[in-house]
Order: sequence, then structure tokens, then C-alpha cells
Amino acid sequence: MSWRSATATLAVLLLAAAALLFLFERQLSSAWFRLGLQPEVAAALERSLADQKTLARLDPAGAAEYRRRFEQDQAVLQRLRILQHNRREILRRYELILLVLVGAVLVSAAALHLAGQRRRERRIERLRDGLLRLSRGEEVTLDDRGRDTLGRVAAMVEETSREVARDRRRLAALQNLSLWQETARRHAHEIKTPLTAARMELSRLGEMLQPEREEARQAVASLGEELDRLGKFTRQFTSFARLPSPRPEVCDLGEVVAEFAATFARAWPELELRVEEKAEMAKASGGKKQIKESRAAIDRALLRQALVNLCDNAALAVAAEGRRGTLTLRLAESPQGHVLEVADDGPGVPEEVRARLFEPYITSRQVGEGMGLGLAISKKILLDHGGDLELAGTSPAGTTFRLLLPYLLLSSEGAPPSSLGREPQGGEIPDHPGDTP
Amino acid sequence: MSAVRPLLLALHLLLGAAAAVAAAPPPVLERGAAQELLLTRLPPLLGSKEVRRHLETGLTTTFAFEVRVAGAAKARGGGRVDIRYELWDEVWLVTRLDGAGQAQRLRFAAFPQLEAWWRDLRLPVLRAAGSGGRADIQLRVIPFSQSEQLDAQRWLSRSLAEESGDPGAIAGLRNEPSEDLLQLLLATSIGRPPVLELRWKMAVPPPGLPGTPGTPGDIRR
Repeated sequence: MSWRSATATLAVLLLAAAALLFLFERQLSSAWFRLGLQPEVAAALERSLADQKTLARLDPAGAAEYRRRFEQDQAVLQRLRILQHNRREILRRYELILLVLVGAVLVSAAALHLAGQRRRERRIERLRDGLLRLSRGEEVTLDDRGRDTLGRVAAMVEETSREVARDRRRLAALQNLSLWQETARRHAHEIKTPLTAARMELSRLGEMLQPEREEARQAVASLGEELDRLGKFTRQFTSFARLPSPRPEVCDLGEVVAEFAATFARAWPELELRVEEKAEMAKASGGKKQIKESRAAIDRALLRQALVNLCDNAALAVAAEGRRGTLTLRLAESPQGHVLEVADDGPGVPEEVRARLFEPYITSRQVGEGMGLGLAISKKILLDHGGDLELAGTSPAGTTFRLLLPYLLLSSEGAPPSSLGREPQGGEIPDHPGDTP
Repeated sequence: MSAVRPLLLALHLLLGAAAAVAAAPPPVLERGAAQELLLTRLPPLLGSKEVRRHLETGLTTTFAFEVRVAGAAKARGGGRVDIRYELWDEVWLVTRLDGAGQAQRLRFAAFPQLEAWWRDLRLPVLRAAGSGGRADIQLRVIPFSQSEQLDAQRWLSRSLAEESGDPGAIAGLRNEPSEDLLQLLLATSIGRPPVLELRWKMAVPPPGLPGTPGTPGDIRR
């Protein structure tokens, strides 16, 4: 506790109180009191009394009125004399009241100051603990809603803690996905070589077969189809393993979303695509379309791939129910960045899948209906953009995914952040296939 | 400045009291017909400049005697004389209240008559007292009565409350507590401090023939 500052504050308060007391007592109260008890006033009243008596003697008819006036003046004079007699006591009482008031103000101010000081000390202690926990990598909640500097620092610590936690989660997800990518790459590589050899041998076997051996030809053809299926899975492995790094360019996220909705309007017969603007965001931006102001550094093709994966999942989900569904794209802003919500009205994500939803090969569909790579790829795309993909909510009424994209940090218009402009890792693939599970 | 004023005032009071004491011989404590204690030959205070000034204000000046007998015959009594000069009629109105609770109202047309009455006054202060012991007699000259004090308090209270339109803290003092503590504190600062206070110690006269005076003791302010 800063006793020096407390003492200084109290000293200043004390001086102010003493000055106030002096001013009131010497300059105001005493002066007015003395003025009211001027001897001239008493002398004038005494003369008035004498005059009334003289008048009554000279004018006996009005004696009653003169007596009434006489008694009035006498009463005033007597009260003044009583006041005069109590002058010291009245002034002493007045000073005492002032002193008590000033004392009360001082005590209250001191109590408030000490209470404030203690509160500040406790807040600083909490802040220190929070910083220590932050340094240990823990998520920190300080619950300090003060609007002063300490409150703002606490809010910053909490925000930093949230950012660190988010980055840790993203890093963990990225590391996990990288491991899965490496595994997929090795599997693809291991499968590709024997697959190529098997195809070549099968082709040679087909050439060796006599034309009349129809049954054998059919078996070879069937075998070829199975090898093609295996090849397709291998390509999917490869596309996941060699997912390119984004090549971002500054563009209007709203336009990208609108363009996607227009381009893919008929891509899924089971889905009706809608683009919706959040009402509160429109109000906050003065009625302008917020969606038109969302500039971000993104790889349009990769973002489109991520959206395609989400739409594929939604389409398959509603198709399984034998009906047509709606998918709504909703762009908004958040402290962390642009938010693109993708909400469908499907049956929701099964509870047992939710916790590992973004891991590769996790799917709620039957074996053979998909490899469960779509959401993992989408997550990886968003993480590579410096953003994230989260499950915002799911219920039997529908599922909402939240795509988070960082705000544009530009030194000049059109130059994307260097962190996103890095060279792609691994091999390039000519197009971004929609690896739907 | 604030420290000098009380010192000057205390000095003034001390000098005034010393002068009054020097000019005021002690009264005499006697036995009455019913062996009650009487105060007689009261000090000629009415003629003193200080007391006369108060007497002529038209306020009721009270001469309050208090007698305390210490020793085996421990007792307490007193008497009171209220004097008010009626300014319009120019007469002196006197109320005497003795230790037995008897009140007497008197009217004097002139101040010398009042002085003569005071000189001859035999004021019973204690109904009966045993023999022996010493009496502590105190005289306080109070410049105005309780009703005049209350009137002044109300007037001050009304004056303080004039701006707020409040009837004043003292106005309803007897019926309900005041809401304005500040007004009440200021208005009640009007007290009745005595203008003169004298004290004598003397021996209580032994029971016996009426008129036996006690032995004067020391005199203190």
C-alpha cells in the first residue's frame, strides 16, 4: 500500500478542510453574526421603544396600537440581547458543527481512499497471479470489469490469454493434421507402387486372355474397376497429404461468398443456398451492407473448397432424410476477425462424433460412403489462413459451422500479410477437388 | 486571533467576578420560626452596574440560590427570585419562590422599593436541617427565563429556516423530532449561562432560637 500517497492525499484534504473552516468561520459566519448584533440595531430599537411610549402619551387614543408596536420591538430587542448573551456559544456550536462535518468528510474520504487502495492492491495481486498463470500457458479469467487502467490491463491479459489458448489449440490441430497428412502421404506412396504394378499386370493379363474367355475378361474388368476405386482413394489420400498452402489475395469476403452462392446455386439439388446479413451488424454499420466491407486476405480457391466440403456434408445429411434443405451463409464481424457462419437445417452432428469432428477419417456415414477427410481438409485450410473452423452449434434442427478469418493487416492496400504469402509446402495439385466424405 | 479572544474573555470574567465578589458580602443563614433555614441580608447585587444593566433590559432576571448542606445532616434546598422590569408600565414585577414551594408575586413602582425589599428579604431555602455541618450556598444570576430562552430559540430557528420555508426545527420540537438537525443544533445553542455566579460556605446554625445566624466561611466565585 502506498502510505506516502495516502498521507499526501489526507494532508491535502486536511488543508482544504481547514481553509474551508477558516473561510466560513472568519469570513462568513462571524461577520454576519456580528452584523446582526450591531449595537446600533439595539440602540435603534431602544429609541423606537421610547418613541412608542412618547407617542402613547401624546396620543392616548392610539395607545393600544403604540403598545402593540412597543411589545413587538421589545420582543425583537430582547431576542437580540439573548443572542448577544449567547454569542460565544452559538459561534462555538457553529464551529463545532462545521468541524464535525469536515471531520466526517475527512474520515469518509480517508475510508474511501483506504478502501480504494486495498481494492487496487487486491486487483494488482489478481493481475499478478493472472500474468503468472498466463506465463505458464494457462487460460486466465480475471473478472475485473473496472474501466480504469487496471481494468483495461486485466482485459488485455484476458484477451492475450484467450489468443494464446486459441493459438495453442490451432497449433495442436495443425500438428495433429500434419501427422495425419504425413500418414496419408506414406500410405498413398506405399499403395501407389503396388497399385501401378497391379494395373500393369492386369493389363498384360487382359491382353493374354483369349477372346472367347468372356468370363475371364469380365473378371479382369471387375478387377480393374476395384483397382480404379483403390486409385481414387489413393488420390484422395494424396490430395489430403499434399494440401497446398494458401496463396492469399486481398478480396472482399462478401463478394466471394456471394459469388460462391451464385456459382454453386445448382450444384446440390438437395440444397437451397442463401446469403444472409446479420441485422445487428447492418445497424452497427449505419445501415450499409456489412458484407460489402469485409476485406480479407484469402485464397479464393481454397476457401471455396472448404465451403464445398461443408455444403457436401449438408447435402448428404438432408438427402439421407429424403428432403430438400437450406444452407445459409451469414457473414459477420467479431473481435477475433471476420466470421462466416455456414448453417444448415439438417439432422445435426451425432453426439459421439462431435468431440473428434475435425480429425481425419472421422465420419458418421457408413464404411465406403466417405473417408471423413472433408472437415479435416476444411479445418486445415482455415488454420492455414490464420483462422479457424469451429462447430458453432448443432441440434436436430440443424448445424452451424463458424469460419473465422483474421482481419486484414496491411501496410498498403492489396498487400497480403507475409505470413500467408509463404510458398506452398509439398506438391501442388492442379485443382482442389472436393474430397467429400 | 481565535486563541486570543477566549483568553481575553476569561480574563474579563475573572476580573468581573473578582470585583463582584469583593463588592458582595455573604448572605446570612439563619434559623426561622419553624427551624427552617433562611437566607437573609442578601448581598446588594441589584445596585451593581452589571446586574442593573440586565435588570433594565425587560428580560426576566433570575436570582437562583442553591444550598447544599454537607456532613451528618446532608440536605439540599434553594430558592429563587425572578425580577422583570415592565418597560411599558415602568414597574418591577417580582416572583419569589422559596424552598418550601411557596410562591409570592410582588410589584414595585420604583427601583429603590425593590432594593429595600431585597435588603429585607428572608428567603426560606431549606425546610429543616439538623445541627452541625456546613452549607454550600451558590447564587447564580441568570439574565433571562426559560420561556424567553425558548422564544429566542424558536425565533432563531425560524430565521434559519426562512429560506427553505420550513417552520423551523424548534417549532415542532415538543411534538416530533426535527428533520433538520443542523437547525436544531444551532437553535439549541442558546442556553442560559449566568452572568454572575457566587458561592459561599458557612456553618449551619444550630437549632434553637429563631434568628441564630450561621458563621460565615470562605467566599468563592
